[in-house]
Amino acid sequence: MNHFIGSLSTEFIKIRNSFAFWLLLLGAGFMPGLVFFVVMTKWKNFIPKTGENTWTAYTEISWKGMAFLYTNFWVVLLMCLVLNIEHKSIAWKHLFTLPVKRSSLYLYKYLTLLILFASLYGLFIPFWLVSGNLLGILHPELKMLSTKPDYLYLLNTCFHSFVATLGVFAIHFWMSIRFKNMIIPIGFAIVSGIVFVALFQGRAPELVYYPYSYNYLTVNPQQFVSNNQIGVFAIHEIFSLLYFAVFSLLSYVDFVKWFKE
Amino acid sequence: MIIETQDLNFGFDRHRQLIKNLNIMVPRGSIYGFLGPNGAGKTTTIRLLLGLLSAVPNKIYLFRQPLEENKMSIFSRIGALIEQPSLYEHLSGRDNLIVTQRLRNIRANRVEEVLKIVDLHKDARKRVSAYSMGMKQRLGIAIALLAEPDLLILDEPINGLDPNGIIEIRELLIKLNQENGTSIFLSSHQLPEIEKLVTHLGIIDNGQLIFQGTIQDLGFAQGRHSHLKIETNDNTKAQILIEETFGLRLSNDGNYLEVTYGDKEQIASLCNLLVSAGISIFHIEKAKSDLESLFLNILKKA
Repeated sequence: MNHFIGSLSTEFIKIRNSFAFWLLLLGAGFMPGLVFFVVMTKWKNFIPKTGENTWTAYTEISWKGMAFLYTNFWVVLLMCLVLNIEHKSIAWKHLFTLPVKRSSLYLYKYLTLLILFASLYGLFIPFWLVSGNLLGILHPELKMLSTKPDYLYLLNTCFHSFVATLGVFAIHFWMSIRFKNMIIPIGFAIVSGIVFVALFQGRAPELVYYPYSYNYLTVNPQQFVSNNQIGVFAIHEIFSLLYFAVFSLLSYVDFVKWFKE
Repeated sequence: MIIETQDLNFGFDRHRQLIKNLNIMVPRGSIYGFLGPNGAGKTTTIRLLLGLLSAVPNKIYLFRQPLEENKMSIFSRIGALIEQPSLYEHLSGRDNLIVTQRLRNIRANRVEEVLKIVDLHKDARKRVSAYSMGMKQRLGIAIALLAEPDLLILDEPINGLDPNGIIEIRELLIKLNQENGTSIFLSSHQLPEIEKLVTHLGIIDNGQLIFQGTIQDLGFAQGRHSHLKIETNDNTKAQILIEETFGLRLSNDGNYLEVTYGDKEQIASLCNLLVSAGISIFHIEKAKSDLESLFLNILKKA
């Protein structure tokens, strides 16, 4: 177990001083910062009427911002940057001559990226709370200090957003392994984002099969897309988990069997 | 043998074999220099030895075990440096070592030990991007040394180093070999430097091993190829005299006599003979026949 933790920790050492580390902080802080700026400049529009809670509107615009392509692109960029550390350092050839199984190297990398992805939400929550409370201090009329956000909704949305993005996560992990560069996965993500907007504008029910739409569908369910539930998950979240399973398996086989340094 | 290949062949496609019937024999405790011109197949061979390229099974043996079936146990006894060192330039030298130390599950204080061995302990906190080429090369070797390996496989370890760096690496490798008994297999095309370092040699050209032996074998080969260039006031008379007295064959291009000799004593006897016979020697020169010229001779013959 100690060896496993020690080996896993090497992935976090590699992120030190790299842009991937800053992407985590910036990614978690950007949306709360942006929403803070929007509310600051138009704060009078957000003054609650009787019985209203400003946190509700604050939550809504924050999550819509997070879900509309932002989280997908953040994941894509994280994937590219973290895997590019090895590609750029020509480090695979060294790692493959160590007495460490390829399956272990795969596991360390995959787990690290999952932890980093989960950390996006872990950091987003405090940043978001701080920005909301700061607004409450700067504009007491918003009553954000005397009211509270819906913490359950916050945690629940974080969890479902995480699940809804796992499909894109696995697809881009595989792409970063397969193509060993940043251009193709990022280019693919941009095209996929454009396709999502087109499908969304066309109110296409096929969005339920399209992994780049899942985060948005989780935060903002649409009438024209199936909203069936299976247990605690919406149908598109189940599809996200299926994409995750299929592409994780594909990247595992690709890495262990065919990947050349 | 610590490394042995048996009729090893390799090619990326059927029509172009990069390695042809390679039979490398590296004795335990040796420093084996693997020489060859660029594109001869040195790096491909090293990649095959380290399992980075797939060979036909049971053609490569390390520590007398077939590589394919025993990769983990074999790799646990090897330290390797392949082409340019794999270094995370955004990390410090120490962090680079810690990554390998933790993955290999080596005791933590070994990091400081290898930093001292390669004389990088004072620069261990610097980012690798600020290191010179020589420092990076030494760090690469430090990473290879972390596990106190029985065998070091180094691909062009002195490539890109200045003369001081070359001397440092050479001394370090000789020390490791003599004090720790580490066997070393290293490739290079810097022949004069290899000559000062290795105990055994293999020369590869066009994917084929064209010479393999100890440095003593090389000395014998050198002896056979050592020759003198002599200019006298009467080359014809000198030629007849030397051929009759020593039974040596000479070539005479009109200006110089070229004589192939066996040992140093013969040079002195030859000079005495000519002077006693009243022949004036204007010029006598021991033609160079170091590893470089031997290497070129061997390549020409191949």
